[in-house]
Amino acid sequence: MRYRLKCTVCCVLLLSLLCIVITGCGSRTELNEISIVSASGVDWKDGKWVMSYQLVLPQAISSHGMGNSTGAAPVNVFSTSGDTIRGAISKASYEMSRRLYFSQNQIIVVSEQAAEHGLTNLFDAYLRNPDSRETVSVFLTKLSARQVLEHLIPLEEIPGEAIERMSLNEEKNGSTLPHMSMYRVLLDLLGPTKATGVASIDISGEDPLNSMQKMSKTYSSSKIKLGQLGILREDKLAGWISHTNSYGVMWMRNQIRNSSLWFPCSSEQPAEQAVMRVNRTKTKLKAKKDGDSWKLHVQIRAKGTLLEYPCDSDLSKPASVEELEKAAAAKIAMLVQDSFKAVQGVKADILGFGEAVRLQYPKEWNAMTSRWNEEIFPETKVETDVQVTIERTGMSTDSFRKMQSKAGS
Amino acid sequence: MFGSNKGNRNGNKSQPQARADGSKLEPLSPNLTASLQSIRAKLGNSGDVMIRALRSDAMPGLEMAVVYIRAIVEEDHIHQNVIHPVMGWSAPLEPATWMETLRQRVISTGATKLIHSIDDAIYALLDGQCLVMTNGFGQAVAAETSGGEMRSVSEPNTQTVIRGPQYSFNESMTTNVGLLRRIVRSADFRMKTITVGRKTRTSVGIIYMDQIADPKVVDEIERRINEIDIDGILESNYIEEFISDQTFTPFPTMMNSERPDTVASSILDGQIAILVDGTPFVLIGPATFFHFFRSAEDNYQRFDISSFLRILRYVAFLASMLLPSLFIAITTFHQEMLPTPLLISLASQREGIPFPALVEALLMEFTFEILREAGVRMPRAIGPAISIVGALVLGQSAVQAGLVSPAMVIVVSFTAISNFVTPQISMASASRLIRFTLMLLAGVLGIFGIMAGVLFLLIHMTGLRSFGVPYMAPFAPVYNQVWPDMIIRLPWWARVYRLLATSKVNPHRQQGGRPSHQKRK
Repeated sequence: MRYRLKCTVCCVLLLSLLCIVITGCGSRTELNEISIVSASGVDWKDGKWVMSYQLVLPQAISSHGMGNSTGAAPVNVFSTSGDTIRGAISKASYEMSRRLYFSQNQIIVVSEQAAEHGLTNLFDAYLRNPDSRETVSVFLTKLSARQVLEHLIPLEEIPGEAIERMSLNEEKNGSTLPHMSMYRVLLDLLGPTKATGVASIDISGEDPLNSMQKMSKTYSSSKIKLGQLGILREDKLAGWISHTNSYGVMWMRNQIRNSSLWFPCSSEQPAEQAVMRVNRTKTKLKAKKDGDSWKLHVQIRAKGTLLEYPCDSDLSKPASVEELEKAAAAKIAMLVQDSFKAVQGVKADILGFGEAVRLQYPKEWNAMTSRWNEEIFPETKVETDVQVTIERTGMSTDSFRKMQSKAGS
Repeated sequence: MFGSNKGNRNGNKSQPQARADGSKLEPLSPNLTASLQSIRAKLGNSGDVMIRALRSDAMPGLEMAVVYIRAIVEEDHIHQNVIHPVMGWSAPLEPATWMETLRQRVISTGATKLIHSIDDAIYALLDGQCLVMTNGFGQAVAAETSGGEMRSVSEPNTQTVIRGPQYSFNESMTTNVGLLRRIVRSADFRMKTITVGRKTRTSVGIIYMDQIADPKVVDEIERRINEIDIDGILESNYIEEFISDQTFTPFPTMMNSERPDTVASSILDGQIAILVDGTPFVLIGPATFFHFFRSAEDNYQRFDISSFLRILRYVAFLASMLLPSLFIAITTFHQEMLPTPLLISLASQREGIPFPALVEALLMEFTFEILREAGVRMPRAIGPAISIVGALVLGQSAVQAGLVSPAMVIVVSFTAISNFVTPQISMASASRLIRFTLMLLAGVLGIFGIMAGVLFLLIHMTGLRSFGVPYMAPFAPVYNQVWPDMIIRLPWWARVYRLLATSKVNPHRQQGGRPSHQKRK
């Protein structure tokens, strides 16, 4: 009995010792041995991939102790180049004392040139490596990616995170541009129509000051902004559409979450615009076969609140509200028509039209999959069925102008 | 060997009638001087053995003596109830029945007994009895006169409550049994006394409720205590280590309490209490893991707050066991698990810290353990000094000097505080020991190591038994009637079942159900 006990104790001790020796704390990384990448950029220059990294300098950010008083920039940007993306990344060890840590990467910015060259390498790297997360947000830019990473954002300490939040905020409260995570991009590109739209980042204005000097001013002459919608087909950039058209695309893709929609408030006063806050919408896409050609039927149901109303109608009467609703519906229909044409121009179906066809007419779809984006989609037509309900007209019924004229009489 | 002792020890405050080896006892000599001489010799001529020579009016020709050991008897008691009546006894009597008369009619203490051998006489003296001896008789009368200084019943020091009885056991077993008797006034209250310890001959009392406690467990406890063969028992932990089911485990399998109300509620639940003379801490067994998270106060507060506190205790126990190891594992192996702002904040704190997180944590943990031990050991007057040194010098300066990161200080102090939440200190100590092991595992293997460690512990715990009761009961195995009352504290009218899973004898505490005035008509 006692002998057995001794044996067991020895075994356990030996095994645990072995564990320590074998692993040797091998995969252990202390927090001060890694450099956290908050944003990365992909450029294509002279036949080589140029990867840029925005590294967070924790000392400059943290509120504790000496904190930000040194005035050091909160991030540091540098680039490496190579024939492949991962190859370029591995060259980072030539100039970095710490391991690049990608798991906390918030955004990845892809330049126009790189996107036109094709992003197969990038997507594959993201699918294959555990430390590159698919939750990272993807953006395109017409500038070089490095320029975007170098730009500081007022109020925010980590630009990479700020850009992601900006995009999320846009999607949630404006809904003109989609917030695309790598996961959603891959899902779309591996979907039936192999196309997707990704928002771009622009820098507006020129600023002679460097980023840190800017921090001491109350305004910034150059700013990071969300721009247009870049359309990717297969793995390449196929073209751009304006953000107004992007807004129409969002309506069609049922991605409106909260949005301000403005429209002419009455036929008598076409210059006056009413604004409504769209709270809930539901879009249904249906494909219709129309002889040889195809038709997309877009059914939209939207509900919202009136925010601005400069016209004269008496909103206490249901009829005039109904008129207003019709005007809003017409505006949505117009947006949809316009953006449909714009997307057709790029020859990449990012609307979910192909998906609708595939679900309803699987046989026909199989036969024309390969020709869809290039040949069939540009020839299709769209028809809209939009109904808008204005649920509340706000705290006042009459417009300010009407109240004024009443007061005068 | 134990078998031969058993019969003797079961007797009330036994004086062995025969030696363990079976040899004949040395009889008392009829010659008083000779007897006194041999008693003195046996006790090594100790100065505290008092011999008072006297003569009685009844038998004026006979030399008599009263013998006792001074510090362990009540001398007033001896004077009034032994010496005075013996000296003043004048009724006529047959000389041959003198000793019998002494025992039955003259001496007026509670218990008297005739003694025939030197050894019995010695044991009686050591138990605090006094001997009355007469020249010409080979006998002595032992009268129960034990007494002496004893701490009075006072407030509990280690298991305090806000609401509830405010008194605790003291070092006298007689008092302690009395305190229990006064709470549980039932004829089913049972007590078995066993004397343990070759030299100390400490009384150990097994207290349980007949018809509630499992008789098999009572017998088993009795058997295990009888097996103990050691020179001295000074505290209940001696007994605990001898009789617990397994020694090599960090988890205690018996509770201890210095509160009479806790012990009373335990024996009503079917547990068995073991009182040891000389310590206020009473052992309670069988005890499962979940018993250790029950405080006496749970029963005295409203059920909602009691339930909340009980859950809080489980959380705090887990925190005190796992928190430092999780911190080490996440910051050195799994940084991706942290939200970015938190990671950056932690990373900035770690800049310039020379040690790996594991070393940093061990350093702080050891520091705390040292502070804690010093706090317990230290004379009370220097107590505040330690808190200044501990809190300011080691906590703040270590951070400012860049030896440890502030986050680590927070983790370690939170862990330390959580550790005090567990009502039973023995269980809190278990989590202290396990914590260090888990920290090493976390530092080597990350969360995988912690998982392995916790899994090992779980397997170990499900295998543990406390006097035959599975340690993880009522969850492994599941006892449906009892387990809600282990996690939360049900309202009193809903606590129908006695907690202990073995209490099959009489499982219902009450009829149960809502009080009639609360029922819907």
